[in-house]
Amino acid sequence: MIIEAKWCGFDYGQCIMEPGGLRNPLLYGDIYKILGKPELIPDKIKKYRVLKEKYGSYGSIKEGHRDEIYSYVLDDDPAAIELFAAKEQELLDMGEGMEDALKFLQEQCIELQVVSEMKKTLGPVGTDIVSRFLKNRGLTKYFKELVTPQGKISLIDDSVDPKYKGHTKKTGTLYDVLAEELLERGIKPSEAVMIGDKPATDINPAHERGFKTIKYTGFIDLGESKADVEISHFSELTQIIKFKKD
Amino acid sequence: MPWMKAARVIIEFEDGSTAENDFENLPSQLQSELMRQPFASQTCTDSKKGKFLFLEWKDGWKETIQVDPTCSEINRYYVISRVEDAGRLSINKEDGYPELIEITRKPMELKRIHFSDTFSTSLEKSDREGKKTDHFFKLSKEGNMAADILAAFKQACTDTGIDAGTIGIANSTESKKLHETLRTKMDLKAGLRVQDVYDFIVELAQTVK
Repeated sequence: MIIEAKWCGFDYGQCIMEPGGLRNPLLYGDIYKILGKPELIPDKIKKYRVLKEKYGSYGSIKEGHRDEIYSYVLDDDPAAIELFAAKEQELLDMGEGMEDALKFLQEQCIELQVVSEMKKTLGPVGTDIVSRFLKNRGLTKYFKELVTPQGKISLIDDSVDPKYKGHTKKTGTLYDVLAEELLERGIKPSEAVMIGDKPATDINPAHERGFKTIKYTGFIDLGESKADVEISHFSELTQIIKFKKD
Repeated sequence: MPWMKAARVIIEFEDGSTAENDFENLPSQLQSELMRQPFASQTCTDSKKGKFLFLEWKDGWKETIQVDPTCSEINRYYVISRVEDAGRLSINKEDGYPELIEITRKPMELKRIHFSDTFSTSLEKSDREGKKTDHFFKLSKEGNMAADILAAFKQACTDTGIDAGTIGIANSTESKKLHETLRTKMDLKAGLRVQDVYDFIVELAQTVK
């Protein structure tokens, strides 16, 4: 199947960013070895795993209970908290074939945006985990903006357009605002593709609003969805997406 | 902690000196490890403190585990299957039984090893046996890590204004501060316990003297 498009939106977690390299023994091992307290490593790993049992997944902890990582696991130690943020960034991977796919899409003159369900940030906008990942990995040459329920964040000057504030991917209202904004630029939802792994937030609500949708299963397959296409490697995008000429 | 509560831990060294601490100050994993040792096991006389988990396997194997008395109900059960890399560094020993050091941090990316000589590593062959693959590394004598470390130590002393001659002389609290300052400056981490680095720093200081 060939999808003709003018705009491509990418989900962040488990899509652009893959957390496979973020292993607890490595993360806490590095932090507490740097701090000169290697004896604490098993205890910290266990506490983090306990926190996972409390909230169900590491993603849930990070999205809504990051402060508890700092207090319960890291004992509110500022040095450990700083290292956690740095090491977390360092150990995250990028989806396989992602950069080549982005380069291809950009060469086709297709607009690229990150569309992330980042419900809250800790610290000032622009230093959040998503922005930092994109900046650190040099992906700002492809993505200039981050569309989130926090607002549309500019990756160039960290300014925030509040238009999207309070709208989420899960309820779909974020896609409503996105569709309006794209139309203002002459792009219909049918000329826009949303790519992500989560049927409930990346695929189904976008599909219901007329966006073309591609489900990425390279990191995790979260089950049935309304996606137009499924891919397991980002290199497949170069065969599927073509620029839509007027 | 499900067992009878321990109050203090006292370690007596071979020279008769002791080190002690409140038991609760130890990492919780270590508390559990100590309390599960046979010598530390005490019968808990308070029956209200005993809560037990029973497990039975398909092959008939049964186990029981005492859990924290405040445990109320099972949350969930799951199994994680994952391919792990585990590095094993084997060092010959006088008694014929090699010392086995487990390398858990990025074992496939270990670059150099120094022990008497410095060796660089390169992947030589990978043998697959069923679901397991053994990756064997060739160790080639190359460079001198010891000289690099000694140079880094001297540089750290210069940068921090610490006189190598005072290392190992100062009292325990002061020397730990000095060691930690040098450790950080040298960007050297302890694999298992930080005292290993401090002892290593004392040895470096003696070499300089």
